[in-house]
Amino acid sequence: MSKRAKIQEQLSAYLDGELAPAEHRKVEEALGADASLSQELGELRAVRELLGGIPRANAPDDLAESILREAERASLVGSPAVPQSGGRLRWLRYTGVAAALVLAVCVGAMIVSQLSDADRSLEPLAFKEAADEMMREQLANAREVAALEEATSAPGRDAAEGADVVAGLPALAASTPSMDVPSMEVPGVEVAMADSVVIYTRDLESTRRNVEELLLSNAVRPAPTTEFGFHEAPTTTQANVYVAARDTEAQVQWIVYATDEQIEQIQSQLLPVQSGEGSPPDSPTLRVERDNKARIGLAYREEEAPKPDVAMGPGPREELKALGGADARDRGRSTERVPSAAPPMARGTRARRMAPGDAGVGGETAGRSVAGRVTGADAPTARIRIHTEAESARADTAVPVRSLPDSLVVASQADTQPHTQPASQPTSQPVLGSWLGQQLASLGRKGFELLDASARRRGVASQPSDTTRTLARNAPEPTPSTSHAGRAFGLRRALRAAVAANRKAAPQRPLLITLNRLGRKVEGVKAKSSEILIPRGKSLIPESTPAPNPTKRP
Amino acid sequence: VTDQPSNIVAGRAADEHAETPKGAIAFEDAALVQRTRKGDMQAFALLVAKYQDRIFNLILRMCPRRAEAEELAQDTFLRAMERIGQFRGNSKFYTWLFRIAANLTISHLRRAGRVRFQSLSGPRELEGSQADALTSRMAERRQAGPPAAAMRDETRRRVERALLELDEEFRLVVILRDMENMDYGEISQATGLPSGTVKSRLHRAREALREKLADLIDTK
Repeated sequence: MSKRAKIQEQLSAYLDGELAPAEHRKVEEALGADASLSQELGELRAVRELLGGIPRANAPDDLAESILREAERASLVGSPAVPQSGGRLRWLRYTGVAAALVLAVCVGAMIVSQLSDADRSLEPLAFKEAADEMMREQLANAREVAALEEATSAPGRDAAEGADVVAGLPALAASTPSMDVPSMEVPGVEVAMADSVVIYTRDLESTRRNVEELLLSNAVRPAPTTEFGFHEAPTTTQANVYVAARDTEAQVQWIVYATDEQIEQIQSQLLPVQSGEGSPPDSPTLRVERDNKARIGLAYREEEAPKPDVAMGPGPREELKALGGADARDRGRSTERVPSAAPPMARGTRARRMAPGDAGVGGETAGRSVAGRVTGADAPTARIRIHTEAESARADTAVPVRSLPDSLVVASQADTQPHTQPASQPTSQPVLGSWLGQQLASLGRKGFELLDASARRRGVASQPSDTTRTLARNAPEPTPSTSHAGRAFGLRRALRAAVAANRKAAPQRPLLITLNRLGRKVEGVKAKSSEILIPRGKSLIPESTPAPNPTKRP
Repeated sequence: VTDQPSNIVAGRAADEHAETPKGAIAFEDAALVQRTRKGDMQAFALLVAKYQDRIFNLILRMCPRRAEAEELAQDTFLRAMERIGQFRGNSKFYTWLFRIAANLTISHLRRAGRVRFQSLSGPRELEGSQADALTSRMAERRQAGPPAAAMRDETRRRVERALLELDEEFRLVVILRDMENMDYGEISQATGLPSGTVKSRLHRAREALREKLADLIDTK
């Protein structure tokens, strides 16, 4: 290589100031003596400037959330992405932590510059502290329940029911809500605690139906004339609090379970809103106002299903204040027309089931969404959620409260039949069994691969997944007279563990089952969740021997 | 290095608040890593928040399909989380993180096949979403009249295209140096290459770009 060629090779490093002093001097001398080298240096500098002028791309807004959710998913399905040994990061195994992770990134991105002790009075830090507290509590509880789960999954015990969970449902975590409601004091509402079990699934809707059917057919099966669900005298009210968003706003989600009387009361209060007649009742908990999007959904008749209007409401901060009750009465904004809900439906008619996400929880980008969803059998139990929506990631924790505030919107309808069944077909065990069997078959196909992978990873015999595989591959049509509820599913096991934990902790606590959609975006839909509340003291799964399973191998 | 990551406060948040608020604490990576090792998820989340933009930008310049870049960025952080116990602090955390990103991305590109990323139609996906493109165009319009803006836009496209035509190994070092402002030592850590190799690859990459962009350079 000639001397000039060597100098040429040094030009870039010279340009970057990366040459040793002696080399630097040599290049400078050469540049002084050779105009073409200087020309080349100038061109290289121009190249560097051109490259430096390319605009930087920012990460998508939801990248952090997706990372943390994926961490959660990985922890659930045992992906190698999650540390499996050493115990250092064993926390990732516990699902409750994922919410704290999301919280951390949401809050953290906002307040990282404000984390000194001196600044702890800043508003967002209330959430940060709450998140910390929640994280600690969830960890403790998750560990406890994980141990319990381990105990209940002793060899030979769960094999009969398929052991692990199908379709991305391998995990169970129960956590006692640990969060007081900082900065949210709802007048007249007594804060109470409930136990909570979180189940993750790839197929939220199917799993939710499965859980509901499990409860119906195995645990809290209603007599024809009795209520299913929340028939105990005290009503149970439960609020989910979403904390933290990029703009330091809090998001609040409110879910209410009500009795007949309360529903009537609430509906009467909703009427002015529904008909667009002036302002809603002077309520600290519900406002539908102009300057933000809001959406109200109720349980509509299937054939009517009106398209929701959009009304404008206050921003999330104001919403929070409204829920706190402090400023709500001071605001005199007018309301915009909100959709007319179907009139209360007669018993036996079927309501259109509205998943939480249906009403814009996952799809709307601003404002509040209010969605009603019907649960229960003949008992007109219902719940409503008010959800202020912000742009960025969110996390939630359940903070059940007891006694119903005086004013909230509610719809009521019985909705116990499997949705795949014609409305005219009577609900019965054979129907449920058949329907659930179909669900199992459809889920099983997706699930057995996960199950196999999980078994291989853990070095466990493939017996559990054999059951599933049989179910999935053969897709047998269940015997109409047999209920398959819970069979071959980890659901049963999960619920049993939840009940055991519930009893162990406090037999009188209600139990909240939360289903979370697992994984990344699914066809553009972000994670959704669905909740099922089991009233206090109610047994979920009988501890007696389950019904025979025709799909089980001898 | 003009943009020391350790001085960045919460990534994008720092961009929006150029001045560190009074009483602010700029977290050092080492402290965050230490906390993450102990299971402090908030610390890990802060690391994500802090570096997500830079990691994503690196990957997107290497792999211009946004969806794939998002996946790779996600995988980068998950891999980092998985292996954070192996990070001994012999290098800076962000160079370690960049190394993970670079390895994942190059592996991905090799699996996918290079030709895929050398489309003659140009790196259209590099422009990002329509919103990004619109924002970019609007920013340019604010600064200059339509002809000048159009020229800048075209110049940018040309540079991006030329960059994508480089082999991955060369593209990586030039991105790390000229877009991420890493010094050679950091590039060496981030790529695992000896510094001499970094130096030669960088020079060859710039020479290649000089040829590809000769007409642009002449007009400057």
